[in-house]
Amino acid sequence: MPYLDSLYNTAYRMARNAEDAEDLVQETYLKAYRSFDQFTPGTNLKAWLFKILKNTFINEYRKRQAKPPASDFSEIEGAFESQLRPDSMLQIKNPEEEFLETSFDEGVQAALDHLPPDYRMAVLLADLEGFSYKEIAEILEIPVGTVMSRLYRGRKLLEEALLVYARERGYLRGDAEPSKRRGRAEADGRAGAA
Amino acid sequence: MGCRRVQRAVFFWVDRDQEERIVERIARHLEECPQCRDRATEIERLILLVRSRCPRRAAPSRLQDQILSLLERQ
Repeated sequence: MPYLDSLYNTAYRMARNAEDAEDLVQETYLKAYRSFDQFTPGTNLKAWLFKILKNTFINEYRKRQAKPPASDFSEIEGAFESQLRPDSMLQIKNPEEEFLETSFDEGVQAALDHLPPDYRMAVLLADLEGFSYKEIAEILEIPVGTVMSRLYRGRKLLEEALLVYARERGYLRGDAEPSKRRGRAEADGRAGAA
Repeated sequence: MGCRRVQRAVFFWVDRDQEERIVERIARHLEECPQCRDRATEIERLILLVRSRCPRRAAPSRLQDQILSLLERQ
């Protein structure tokens, strides 16, 4: 079955649980089967399937929120605005204590999972699925400029949320603001040893 | 292109998915500006970090059977 694992992985990261991810993927294949006459042979099947997945996710989300139809993520965005502050994305009360309790992998995944859905989808498609900007624009049905804007904000939020962890482990160097960086050589040493 | 614009542009430059002339302009700036070059490296590391720390979840094996069985009934 084409792209089953890719679709499932993205569905899981969007729904944030296995049961909903399975439902989303199942619905995606059913819709693709029913509307296969709308697919142009020779064009991008993977992007077409991901577009159906995206629409299925938005529809399901809308149903649960009992909100009027949205053509894209714009209505969903508002519901997630409170999560835009990087510290609230990981809900860190005390970084040191949290660091002992939570593995770094979990921290990275939590940061990704708590991105607002429109940014999360752009990051997933670009950074985990390797789609081009043009393909992402086609999947999300938005201009390439909007894809870039969502990627910028998504990656920036991820960076801010991860900085506290990354600094400890030496994956990223210094502060978010380059002008404030200190101890680059030391950080380099840590990064090299990591 | 000045540092301020490049510091934002490196978020996309790392994908090399823009017009060639823009990619080249940023590359030229990075050659001359160690601060912006470090910033570009940070963004590349961030993306690699997300890729390496978010393992891909494979679909459960029963899911394919469920879907095929549903499609057969269509």
